[in-house]
Amino acid sequence: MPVSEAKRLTARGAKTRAKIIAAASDLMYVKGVGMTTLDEVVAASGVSKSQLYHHFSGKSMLVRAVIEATGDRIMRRERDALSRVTTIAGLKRWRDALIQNNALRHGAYGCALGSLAADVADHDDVARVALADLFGEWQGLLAEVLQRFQRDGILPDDVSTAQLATGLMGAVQGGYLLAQTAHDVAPMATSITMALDYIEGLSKRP
Amino acid sequence: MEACFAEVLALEAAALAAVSDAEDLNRWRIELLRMATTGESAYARVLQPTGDLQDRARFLESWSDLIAAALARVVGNASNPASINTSQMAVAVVAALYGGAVLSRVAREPAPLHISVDLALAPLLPAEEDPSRSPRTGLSVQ
Repeated sequence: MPVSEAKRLTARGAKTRAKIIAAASDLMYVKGVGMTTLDEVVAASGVSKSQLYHHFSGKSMLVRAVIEATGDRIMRRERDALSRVTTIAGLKRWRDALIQNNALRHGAYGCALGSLAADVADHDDVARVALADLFGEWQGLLAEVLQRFQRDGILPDDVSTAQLATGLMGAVQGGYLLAQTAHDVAPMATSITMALDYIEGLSKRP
Repeated sequence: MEACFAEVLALEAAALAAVSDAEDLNRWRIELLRMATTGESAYARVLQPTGDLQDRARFLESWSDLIAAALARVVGNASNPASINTSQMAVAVVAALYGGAVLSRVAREPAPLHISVDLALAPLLPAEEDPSRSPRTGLSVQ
């Protein structure tokens, strides 16, 4: 096979794979991992079943690819948003963007990463570890913001930025879950705001 | 799941009725975290976001109301009462339980759940006399 043809086929294969992952991501986000069948993924992506099995040996492998793609997307968004935050006001704008994005769907589907975590953490250890790494990375971005606050004298030096970042991530993820249950982003706004108010309060202590 | 919701609400109604000051609140926090991290307890089960959404919504509202009433008593009995919206704080506590539970399940360790709940309760739980928590942030010292 000429090199150019091999390249073309590889590109086509990558496109098919991406189509399958995109369809599976949408279905799993809306219906949950457990309720999504491979037949539905085949139908939604417009590929044949044999093409799907050419790229993924089974549902677990597809779920892991969905986690990777979802993680890439969310981490790109979060790196972009959080790397520029240097003030409490900036952190509040980050909160507002998260809530605003979720409000477009009345909070119905939750955090794409958190939903995957709730669905697979107890069933697939490889997927669980991948999710743990992604949450660790997200919390690391928040911790870096809080470390910049320390560097600039906004937060005292003797607070654990890693712990505050973990608590803030807990407030974010819990907020998503409450919004999903209530079909309303108000409890998500409350949850994150209370955590940020507490962090802001630390900055004002003597 | 309905039976678990009812069991947790009954236990929480009794436990939270006994909360009237910061010391009581801390005792409730410790017991809550113990139950939430106990394998197959009703608490551990209700913290998994599964089951009927409307049942869950009703359960969360009831639990949040019970917590808010207890927080209001803690604020009311404080010698130097904090200016806190206890209903909103109760929502934050329930969110911390759920968000922390997801992070703990993924990490296979209880620390994220503890830290999340500690952060939500920190405004009412000064840690000066509790060596298990940082005096500065009120979060568990790991």
